[in-house]
Amino acid sequence: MTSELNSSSSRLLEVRNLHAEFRTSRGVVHAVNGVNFTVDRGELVGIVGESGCGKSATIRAMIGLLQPPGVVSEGTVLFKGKDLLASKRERRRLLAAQIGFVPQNPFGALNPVMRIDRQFVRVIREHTDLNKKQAVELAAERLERAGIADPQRVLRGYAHQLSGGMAQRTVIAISMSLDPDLVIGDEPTTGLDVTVQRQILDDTIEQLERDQRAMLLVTHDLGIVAHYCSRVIVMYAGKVIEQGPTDLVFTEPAHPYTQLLLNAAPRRDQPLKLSHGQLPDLINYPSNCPFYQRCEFRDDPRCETEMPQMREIEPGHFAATFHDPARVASKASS
Amino acid sequence: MSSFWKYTFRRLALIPVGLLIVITAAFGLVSIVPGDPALAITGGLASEEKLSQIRGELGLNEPLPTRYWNYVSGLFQGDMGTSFFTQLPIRDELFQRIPDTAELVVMALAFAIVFGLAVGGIGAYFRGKAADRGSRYFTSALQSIPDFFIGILLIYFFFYLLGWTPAPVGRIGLLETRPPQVTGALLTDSVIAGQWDTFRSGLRHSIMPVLALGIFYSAYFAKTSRAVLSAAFASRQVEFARACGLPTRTIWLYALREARTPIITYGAVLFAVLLGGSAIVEIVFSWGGSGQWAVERILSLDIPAIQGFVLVAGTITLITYVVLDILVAKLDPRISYGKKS
Amino acid sequence: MTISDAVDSVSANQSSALKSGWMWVRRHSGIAIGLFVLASILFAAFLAPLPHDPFEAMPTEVLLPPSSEHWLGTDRSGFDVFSRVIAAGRLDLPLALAGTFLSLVIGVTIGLLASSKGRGSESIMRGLDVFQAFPLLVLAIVIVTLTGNNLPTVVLAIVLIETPRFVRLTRSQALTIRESRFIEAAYAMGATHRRVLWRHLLPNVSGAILAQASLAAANAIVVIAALSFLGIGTSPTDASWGSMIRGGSQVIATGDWWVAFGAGLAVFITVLAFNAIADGIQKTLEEK
Repeated sequence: MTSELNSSSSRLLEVRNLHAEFRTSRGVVHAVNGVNFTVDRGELVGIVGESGCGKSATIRAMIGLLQPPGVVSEGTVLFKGKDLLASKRERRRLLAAQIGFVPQNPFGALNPVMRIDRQFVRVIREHTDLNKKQAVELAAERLERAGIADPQRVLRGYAHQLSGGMAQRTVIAISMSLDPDLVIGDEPTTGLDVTVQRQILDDTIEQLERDQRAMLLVTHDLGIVAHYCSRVIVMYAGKVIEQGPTDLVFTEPAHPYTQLLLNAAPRRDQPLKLSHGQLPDLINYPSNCPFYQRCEFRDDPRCETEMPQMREIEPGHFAATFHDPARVASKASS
Repeated sequence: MSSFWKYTFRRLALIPVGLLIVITAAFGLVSIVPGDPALAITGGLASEEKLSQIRGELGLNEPLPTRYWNYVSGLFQGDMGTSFFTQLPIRDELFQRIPDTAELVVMALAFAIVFGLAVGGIGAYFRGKAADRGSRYFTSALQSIPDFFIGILLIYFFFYLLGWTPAPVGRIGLLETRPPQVTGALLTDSVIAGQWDTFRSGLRHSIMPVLALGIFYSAYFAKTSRAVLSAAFASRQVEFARACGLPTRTIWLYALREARTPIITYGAVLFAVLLGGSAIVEIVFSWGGSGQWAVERILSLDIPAIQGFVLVAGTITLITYVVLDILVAKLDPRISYGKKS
Repeated sequence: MTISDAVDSVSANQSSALKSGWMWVRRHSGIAIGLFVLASILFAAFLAPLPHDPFEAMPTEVLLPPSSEHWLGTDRSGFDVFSRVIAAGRLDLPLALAGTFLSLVIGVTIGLLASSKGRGSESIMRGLDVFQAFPLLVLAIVIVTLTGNNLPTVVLAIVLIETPRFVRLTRSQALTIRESRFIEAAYAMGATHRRVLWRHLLPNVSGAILAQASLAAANAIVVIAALSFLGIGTSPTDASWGSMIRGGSQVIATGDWWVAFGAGLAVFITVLAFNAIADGIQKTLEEK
């Protein structure tokens, strides 16, 4: 998929043909349909798309967090060469130690009836040989690193005593406490005050870059992606429809959906809610281009009949579309 | 922490009020009911003269407020009235039998909770898979068989067919004697007295009634605990715990921890339900507890006995719920003790 | 979205009503089976021809084990167990349904009334709490015994036991929905309280209420069986499942299992049917 120039030792994550579905009584909802992408050491990759495009499901499917009725039906997820989907035990070992996960709602992630230090230490001691005292020290240090001024007070308290920003910093501290090589964030700052968002992201990413860690950031906020991510993956209806270096994709979007996204990008951070038009039926997944119903171009006869495959638009920049801006332009001028 | 104590105090302050309501209800329940106790006692065979004499003795001729006052003031002196039938003080009769019922309820409750949690928990953890469906059908089936019928089936299978359990003639065999009375509860007293044979016999005689009650109510507990644990397993806390690579054992503990408030609540509710619901099983197995006594007295229209039982049962339930509220508040640091009352 | 909307969206392409009816049955198999079983019991109890007269004792044929002549044997008085079990459906099931229906009507009404914010509704709920503090089965026994010990009083007892759950459910649902936008809109358009109750609240709450009604009916069957087991509410000559179980319990220790078994099985099937309906409704509601 991406150019073979990257040596395999710097390839952290490789997702191949990932399919996930939700078995409901209405039918099988195809949430993730053949997703492919990679993340290399030290890369900051963003995944964007509107709500319901399958980005959260993809992330969860990747690290084995998909709960019934969701099920991974196909695909491999190679982390440093090992298939995460193959062995539950292996996966458990890697999570937190080498793969950190930062969810959206910190008050959801933190256990409300347990003291912070207890939860934190539990994670640390699961993956290391540290004793309780050492683990607490490490926890305090990590909290400080995440930007919390008084770690001891936080550790001795409970989640509901923290502000939104502090809670999220705590969660980030926990997720990154063991210095994982890859940090996956699922809308980690959504819902927080905008200034706090930027601060947290700045601090976190600065740290990541310093330690050469990779990040996979799932978000609907194109501004964040533009600012922080070197590569971007655009998803729609459970498929990756465009990916490449952020500057290329954002200045010359090849897929009509990406263009729609960029034009509709809201100023402040609001959840991306485009007028839905007709989202494809995820139960009876179309065999043609999933964006066909909402596409303003449809300039290729195959748009209606075939599923577009990913093709290279320019080096490193890929899109799954039959759309050709040159063709549209020439038509317009004829 | 002081707001917690304020909350506790407020809860405890409810008890006197609640008690008053319970007392009034116990009193009023019986007084507003049509029917003539004197007639019921004599079986309708006595003369009008005799009837009015009985009514006078029973104090039924007094106006309602006077009777109410007599009743309440009697209660404060520890007097719950005298049985229309046996002429014995209600308090003695009732309190003599409560410990035995308590043992039955406690044992059945323990079984129901443990078994219910296991069945419900397995269904919740393996949600969507075969184990979940199996757990669901099992629960539905168990819930649909009345406890006294389960008891009867148990008698047939375990006693008649298999001979594993003794005959359902009471807490111990017909020829055996009870241990000296310390608490009034058979198993406890036999342990205290060191009468191990009696203790073992008591246990063997307890198997069927405890199972009958326990199995039936475990279904209810399984249903509620599956719902609660399902939500807990699907919660973001558990998701994050999984994302941090914590082992299955810990995931279970976290889920249980998260679900502990509803589980404890349902346990307390079950306790209150069992207080009354154990009566029929007591009858089937001749347990000799307060439930059986109460039913017999109700059927004989023994008014003071009915009042006494309703009073005691209501009071125990009231205290249970208040204790539950306090316990839940202590366990859950999120509850604000402000407006919630 | 009501159940019928869900059906419509699935079977939009199927034209005939029969086919969409069948689709409904398949998708809601629990509800369908439960209803079918209940209907069969009622039908059999009232209309089906029975092998023996359930009210005619045959003193020479006492305690006979099941045979081709007596499918479930005979009891201590010489009644044919099978016929009597079926006939008992004339009593137990309608009683439970009547009691449940009344509790529903009364409970929902009180619940809706109690859902208006204010002191009145708070005290209703307090009263309910206190009421439910008493052991309800015992309360039922007390009420039936003291108010005349006949069938209507059994219904009364059922009503008293089952009404609280409808009050609570209706009230909590109403309070939740009350907060939602479209209720605000309705008021804004000038609807009166009553209109809001009828047109907007009720339809949305009805699914959960029906599920509770099914559960209440299941409970009612057990309570009725318990009462007649103790000889309360029904007279000795009536055929009822509870009293048959009682008769059976007296002979079970000597191995005559069939006397209690038929009635117990009948109770089991009936309660299971109600539970299946309730589960089916709840499952449908969950998928909204």
